[in-house]
Amino acid sequence: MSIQVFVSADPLSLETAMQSVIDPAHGAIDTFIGTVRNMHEGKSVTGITYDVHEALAEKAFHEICEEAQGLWPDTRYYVAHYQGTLDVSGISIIIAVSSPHRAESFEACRYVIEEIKKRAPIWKKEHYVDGMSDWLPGHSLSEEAEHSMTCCGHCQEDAHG
Amino acid sequence: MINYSIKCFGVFRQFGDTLCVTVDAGSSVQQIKAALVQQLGEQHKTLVEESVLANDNAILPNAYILQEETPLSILPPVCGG
Repeated sequence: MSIQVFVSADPLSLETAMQSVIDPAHGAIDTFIGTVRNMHEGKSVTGITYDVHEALAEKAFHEICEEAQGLWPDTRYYVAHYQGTLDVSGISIIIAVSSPHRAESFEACRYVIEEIKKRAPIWKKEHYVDGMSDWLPGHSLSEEAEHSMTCCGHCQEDAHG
Repeated sequence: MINYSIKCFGVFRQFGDTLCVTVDAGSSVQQIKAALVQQLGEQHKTLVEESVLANDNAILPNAYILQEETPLSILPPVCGG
């Protein structure tokens, strides 16, 4: 399979990611690993809880990878996102992209992470050293909703563009 | 009238795992969101407006009409990665 995507409550594996995209015709694998930072806007962070709508997140990952394949043909993708609570330095996401040459894998990997941040239904709750926690602000999915390809056939107006 | 059970994600979890609203049959997503604002209070109007409703397969446009009881989720602004 040229696209593999997962949401997982188990620790994410870089080795699995690399093995999933390796291809004898490809000379490059680019990886992105997201980890929990110990500081955010001046507050000391002890960990993050990741809340995920699993079905729609995996659907979004797949759509994003398909778009990337359209932009950079002959590329392979692995995306895994963690669901649950991680301590500082825990791995929240691994993206691996392979391609015949390095430029495509760099560019496609960047595209995938930037789109995931804007479009995948995932939320972060930061935990601080003082015992407090906050849900972080994010990017509204309103635009995604208005461009949804799903139609009930009974919309009040031409809602699907 | 139809009762919708709406699963909460992200910041909506402050209200519990699910929210329940009752609206007329044939209501739009926008009308269900308005019912949510009425239930949660005007102080949450911006949050609800910036959020979207989804079924198990797709995010739903505001004009989408729901004809029957179906599980829904409310998805606030996202910040994965």
